[in-house]
Amino acid sequence: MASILIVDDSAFARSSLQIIVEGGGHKVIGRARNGEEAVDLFNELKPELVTLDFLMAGETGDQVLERLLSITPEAKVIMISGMGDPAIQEKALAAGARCFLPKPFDKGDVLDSIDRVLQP
Amino acid sequence: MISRGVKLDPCHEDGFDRLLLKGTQSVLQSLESMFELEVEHSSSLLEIVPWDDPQAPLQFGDGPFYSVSCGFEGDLAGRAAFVLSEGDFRHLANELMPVLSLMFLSDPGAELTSLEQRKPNWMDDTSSALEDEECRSQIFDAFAELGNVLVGACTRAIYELTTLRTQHTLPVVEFSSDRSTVDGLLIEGLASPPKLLVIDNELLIGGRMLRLWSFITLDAVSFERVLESLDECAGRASGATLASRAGRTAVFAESLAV
Repeated sequence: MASILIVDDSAFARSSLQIIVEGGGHKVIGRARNGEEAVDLFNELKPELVTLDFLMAGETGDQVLERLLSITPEAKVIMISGMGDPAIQEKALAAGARCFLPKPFDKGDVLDSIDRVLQP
Repeated sequence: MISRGVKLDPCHEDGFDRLLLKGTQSVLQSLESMFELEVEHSSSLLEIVPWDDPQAPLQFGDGPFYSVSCGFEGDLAGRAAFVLSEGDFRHLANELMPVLSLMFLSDPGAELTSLEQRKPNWMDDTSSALEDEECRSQIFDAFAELGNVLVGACTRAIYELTTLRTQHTLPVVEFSSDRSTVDGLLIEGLASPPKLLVIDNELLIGGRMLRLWSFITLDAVSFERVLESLDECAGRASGATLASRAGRTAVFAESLAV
């Protein structure tokens, strides 16, 4: 069971992902709506893994990712996006995300990705 | 597919037919996976018309409407909007209640009272405005997320057909008393009169036939770019296959040379 911080400006997306993640036996220890909240909660809660939406108001996911990795270079972050452009995926992975997940969420894909990212 | 006032070659028509198929598949898959909605029957039609065509489609009525819209940029410049009549939106929102109730309960700041118990009167009373701000906010949020997924699917479909890359902006949900607001959303920020792609989806959900209108406007340069790319599509088969394979599943950093 891993401790997970969910970052997404959509309440629906946060809740949808939380239901999937907790159904898979993990624990959501925090939910952030934007980059500032994400960084604050990351520092406070020290999650084992972060799921991070790419398209958000204010800071985008890759910008938030950069901040998280500057705090903890080995941070495990899964970037998530509904964007159709594969360049977003490439950008996220090049910036240090461990994995990229598309929306809408596929339950099996989400849980398998978490397990794989958490592997030592 | 219907094209009025826009000359298309067979290769273009084939490309747009495939866009229609992918777009419709995305609508159905998204409704099912995001909201656990069963679409009992669906049909769809694509029309392509110049924006300033005096016979531009008017079938989506005069309003009121709920819409979720965004812009897109990159290789293509345009706008996208997904529109429902007020009545269809209310029905869809009602059908979403089971999932939204669960979502509401999963919110750590929520009260134990379920969203369904707090269902606002406007769901049943067409003359009432939305008054429960919490419920309105969550329904709009879900609709915005649906728009986010649908426009992403659309831009991915365009990429797979043409290799043209596009990113979209944050979707915004709006209520419009008439279609002039929707029209404004579709040409906002565009430099030239666009071409309009209209996908008319009829969806039988919960015993009611809903009509979901998907509007995509592309400025003149972008539309020509799409046509040129479709002209070259036969030679891009291997690239398109690679794009399709990478599209809809998780991708890990270690699997790529990054």
